[in-house]
Amino acid sequence: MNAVPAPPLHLCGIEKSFAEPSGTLRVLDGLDLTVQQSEIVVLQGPSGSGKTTLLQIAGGLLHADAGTVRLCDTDISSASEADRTAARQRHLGFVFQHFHLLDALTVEDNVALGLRLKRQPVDRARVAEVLDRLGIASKARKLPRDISGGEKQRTAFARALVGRPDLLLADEPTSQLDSHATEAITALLAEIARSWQVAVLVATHDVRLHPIANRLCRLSQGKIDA
Amino acid sequence: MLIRTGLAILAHERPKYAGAVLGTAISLFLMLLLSGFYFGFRRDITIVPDSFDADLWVSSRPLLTFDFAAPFDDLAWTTALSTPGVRATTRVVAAFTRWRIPGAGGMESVQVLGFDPDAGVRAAFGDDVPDLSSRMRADGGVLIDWKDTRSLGVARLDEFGAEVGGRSARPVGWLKNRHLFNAAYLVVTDVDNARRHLRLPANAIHYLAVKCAPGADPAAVAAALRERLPELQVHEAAAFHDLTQDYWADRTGIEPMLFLSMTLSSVVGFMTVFLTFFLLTSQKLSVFAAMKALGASTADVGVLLWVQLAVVFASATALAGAGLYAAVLAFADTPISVVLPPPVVAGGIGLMALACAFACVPSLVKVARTAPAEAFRT
Ligand SMILES: Nc1ncnc2c1ncn2[C@@H]1O[C@H](COP(=O)(O)OP(=O)(O)O)[C@@H](O)[C@H]1O
Ligand SMILES: [Mg+2]
Repeated sequence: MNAVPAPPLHLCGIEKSFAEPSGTLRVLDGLDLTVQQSEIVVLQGPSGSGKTTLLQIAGGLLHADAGTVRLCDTDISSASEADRTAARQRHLGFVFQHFHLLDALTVEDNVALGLRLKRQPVDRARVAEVLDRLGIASKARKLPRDISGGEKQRTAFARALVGRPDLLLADEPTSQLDSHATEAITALLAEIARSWQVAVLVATHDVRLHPIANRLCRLSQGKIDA
Repeated sequence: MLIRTGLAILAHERPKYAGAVLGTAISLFLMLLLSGFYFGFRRDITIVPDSFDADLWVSSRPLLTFDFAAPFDDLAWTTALSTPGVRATTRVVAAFTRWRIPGAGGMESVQVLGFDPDAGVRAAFGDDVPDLSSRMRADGGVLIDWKDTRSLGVARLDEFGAEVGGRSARPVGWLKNRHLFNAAYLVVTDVDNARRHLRLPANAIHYLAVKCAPGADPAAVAAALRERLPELQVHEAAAFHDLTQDYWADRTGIEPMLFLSMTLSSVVGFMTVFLTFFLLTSQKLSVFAAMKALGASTADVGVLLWVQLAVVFASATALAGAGLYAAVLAFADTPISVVLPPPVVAGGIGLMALACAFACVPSLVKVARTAPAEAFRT
């Protein structure tokens, strides 16, 4: 058999509705999306169009009402809770809009926590490498309160990348940053995706992220308009 | 493991956890000190009869408590002495009267205890006083506790001027930590002196304290005494102790009061831990959600809380222990008794640990209910 690896993310026929006082809100309506290895997909769409919901489903944190979610070779939509967690630990990195770093831990310990929570041995050399790559090696011993917003976001990226994920899911990663920090981090992201072969699905309405996209997807009416 | 992370969070937010440490320490301190007062009180209720190495006690009937006995004729003494199985017996006189303080002449209430120091029933009163029995027999010779000298107005041995029951008395030795649970002071002397101070007839006594011969069964000796002294009541030492304990526990209502105070202080500990942990957990829920999204289990996050609780509790216990030590030292010079048997200390600490553990449960439930997806929403 040939050994073409499964794409990091394959979504097929995803449906998701929420019960609202005014009736059922159909957020995702038969959505299909595949993200290939090393590909950067920028997911656009107005606020409330379902970008975050889509990332939660892709990350195995929210059940779709219908459809399949494959992370690399695992169908997490039909997997047990334990298998889903294992697949998440093996394949995924998350970057949240509000960083969610632990205030009490230094930058390097926050990054090391990314390994620990994935049940991987804490490899200090790997942590140092990622910090260096993200340009925050000099901040390794600082606490989050002593670094800038851009550096916090880099720390969050470092925490997501340190465990060598196949797919990075990032939700509005630049909404808290000024344009200088945004430019720097987007350039870095593009370079890392290419050299470390990480696929990136980033949800944003920030046009400054468009230049690095291999593909721009627009979410509307619960579907992707290519 | 996440133990180091838990400790780092604790260190980072020390001032916030300090409140929980202080609250827990205070409530543990209060709980143990109250227990100390209680067990001190319990010890002092029966400190007089318990100080005799007696197996049996003979009293008039019916007897409600050691403190209020009717006198009976000491002919019973010779009867008791000739009963098989009795090795020794001492006559005991115990009743309340008044002490006139020398000089200004105020009055204090005292319990006069008289017994035969050479009768062969060991009694822990003034053990270290040289020549004890002849001093006790000397006219007006009494023992008082060394902590009561100021209150009773006599500072030196053989100092004259005090009166007990209207008869002159002088201290001939000091008792060590023999305090009554009530406001009265204990005055110890021999039977004849005691009768004079209490204005009792020359043959009246309140008790016989009986020591059985080695190998004799106290129950059998008690039965023999009952047969020979049908008009009197014969008690085994443990029952005699319980009679007085139960009487005063009933009369003072100290047990419900103590129970209430202990409950309230554990509630204080519970509440401070509950509020602190719940608040600090709520503040960090989005971070905990992010940790879960990154692969942490509820148990992983729970470890953070348990580590913090363990440190908070250990610090609180150390602080309460130091406070208690200081309190015990401070009370050592006063007539207030603090008695803390080790099982009681262990029980108090255990109870507080349980309260703290329960106080953490709502926080753990909150952590368990936090879905990793929430990391995207907050
Ligand atoms: N847990 C939920 N319960 C009810 N409605 C929800 C829930 N999560 C999202 N929604 C709704 O779904 C829609 C899409 O939300 P979201 O995915 O956050 O959009 P976006 O990230 O594009 O702004 C919104 O209208 C939002 O109110
Ligand atoms: Mg969103």
